Amino acid sequence: MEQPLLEVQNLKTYFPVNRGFLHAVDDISFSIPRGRTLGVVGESGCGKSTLGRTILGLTPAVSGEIRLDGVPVLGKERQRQPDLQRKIQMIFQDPYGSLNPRMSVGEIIADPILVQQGRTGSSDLERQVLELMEKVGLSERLFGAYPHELDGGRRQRVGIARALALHPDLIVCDEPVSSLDVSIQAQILNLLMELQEKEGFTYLFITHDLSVVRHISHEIVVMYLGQCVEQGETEEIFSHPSHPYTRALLDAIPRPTTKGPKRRPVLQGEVVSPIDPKPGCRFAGRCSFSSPECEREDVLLREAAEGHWVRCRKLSGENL
Amino acid sequence: MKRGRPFRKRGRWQAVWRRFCRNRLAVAGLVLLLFLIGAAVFAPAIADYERVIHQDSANRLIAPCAAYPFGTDAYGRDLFARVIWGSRYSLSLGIGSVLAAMLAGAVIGSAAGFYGGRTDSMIMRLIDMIMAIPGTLLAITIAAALGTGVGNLMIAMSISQIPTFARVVRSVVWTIASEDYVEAAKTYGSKTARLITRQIWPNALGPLIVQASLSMAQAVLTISSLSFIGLGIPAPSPEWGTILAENKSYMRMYGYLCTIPGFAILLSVIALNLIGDGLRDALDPKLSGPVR
Repeated sequence: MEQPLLEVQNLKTYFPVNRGFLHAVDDISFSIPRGRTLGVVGESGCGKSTLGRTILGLTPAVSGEIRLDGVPVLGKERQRQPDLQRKIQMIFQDPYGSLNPRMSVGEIIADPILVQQGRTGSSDLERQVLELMEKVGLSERLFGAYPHELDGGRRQRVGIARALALHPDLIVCDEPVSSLDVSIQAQILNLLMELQEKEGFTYLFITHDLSVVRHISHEIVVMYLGQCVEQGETEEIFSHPSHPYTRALLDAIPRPTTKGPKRRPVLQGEVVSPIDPKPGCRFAGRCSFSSPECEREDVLLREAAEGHWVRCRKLSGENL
Repeated sequence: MKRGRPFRKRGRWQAVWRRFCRNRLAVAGLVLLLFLIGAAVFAPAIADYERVIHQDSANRLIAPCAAYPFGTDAYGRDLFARVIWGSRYSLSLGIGSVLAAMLAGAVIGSAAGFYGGRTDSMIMRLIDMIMAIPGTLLAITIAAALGTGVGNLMIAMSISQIPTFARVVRSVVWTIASEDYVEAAKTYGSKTARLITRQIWPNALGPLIVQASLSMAQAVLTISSLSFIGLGIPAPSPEWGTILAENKSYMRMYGYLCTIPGFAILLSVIALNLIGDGLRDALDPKLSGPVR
């Protein structure tokens, strides 16, 4: 089998807080083949953004391993590879906060090139920037414009152009469309998919929006409180959701129909604290199928079908 | 494709300038300051330096008239020439000391705000210690320790103002350092120095400029106070505070001797304060209002 571009193994990112450690990312493993998209889904605070930031090196990991093209890139290994900063880039959620208000569009897109390659000829730099702008569908006349003069969609295109500037292999997209209007969301998603087709980018796509993730991802990781609760091919997960949490998420997607099947009850209960969580299934408190033993001991990921992993004790019972 | 396209156009600062111009008081302050700077720069053309130091016992204590617009003092020196030349000390020292303090404060405050944590605590506790001493008193202490003279006064004034700037810069840098665009610049490998100078400082400039213009007003006042009590510019030099000190014994009979240099101090302080307020409103309309 071909070597995947990104391999993440048993990654743990904890934050020290007053009462102990906040388990933001707790033992996550996955891999993304080159040119594919992995969607990471979960509610706010489940650690999906921290996962992205850890892969980017913005947040230090506690343990685990990250390999890019088979080369470990975590912690000290990272410093030895200046090239790494070129290989992994990020697209941010907030197109307003992610662009420096004092820099023009041209300057923003040129900055990564300047940082990585030092001074190149200014006309050459300009040519590169204009090419990038064309690639993401920005008109040439916006070259000298400032971010506050652009709408959300255009700003996000600037963010994408900046991420593409260094020809990265992996792009971490942290909710890149969730703060945009729906019509613009589609444009940006299509742009990202087009770019993947043309240039073979690999995406780690973080989102809370299941319809978005279905549209763009080849594989999905569903996260709950730092853990992966379900993982597999997108179609497999959408057709055979096996973890109660995934089912609840899927049921929560509004359907444009008046008849349809009756809705399952909405999730009850509160999310337990991610600070030094007790052993046992972290979802047990909100799960309508939980039994006392769910709360006693940890549940492991098990393979429900070929390439479809689920962290649930009740796995055997079809149609819970 | 067109060549030589400008990478930036000056949109932001133009908007700031337009908002500044809408504030009539601020424009008045600017005109006043330019007038005073003009007087300082062209002092040799306005009044010969000879008239500043020339003592004439025949023409002592003449009230303002055509030959002596501001009158003469107890030594028969031309007060007009002295006040004009005095603007050189007040303005250059005021502006110079603030710029020096601003630079030092920017570096110290940036380090504290950017690194945070222990670095921040250590730097800021040190700054707090200095801040516990009132600025003017600190300047007096330093000036007394170093002795009088233009250079020493400048050092004293700068040091006493560093804490204010360090605090302003630190809080702004701290806020900006967690912005997404700074994170983005980290992901593509910007070094700390580049992050601070290119991503953070341009966005921190607004509050810094406001603080600078307000501090300059304070500095002009402090310089005159120090000179008045004899710790600033020594006596024969025509510093405004020094002139006040020399003439204070004649104040009752010859009021113009103290009101005119006092008025010069007042004008420059008002001008700088008006500009500072105007800049604050122009740079950030959200901050305008009576709240300081």
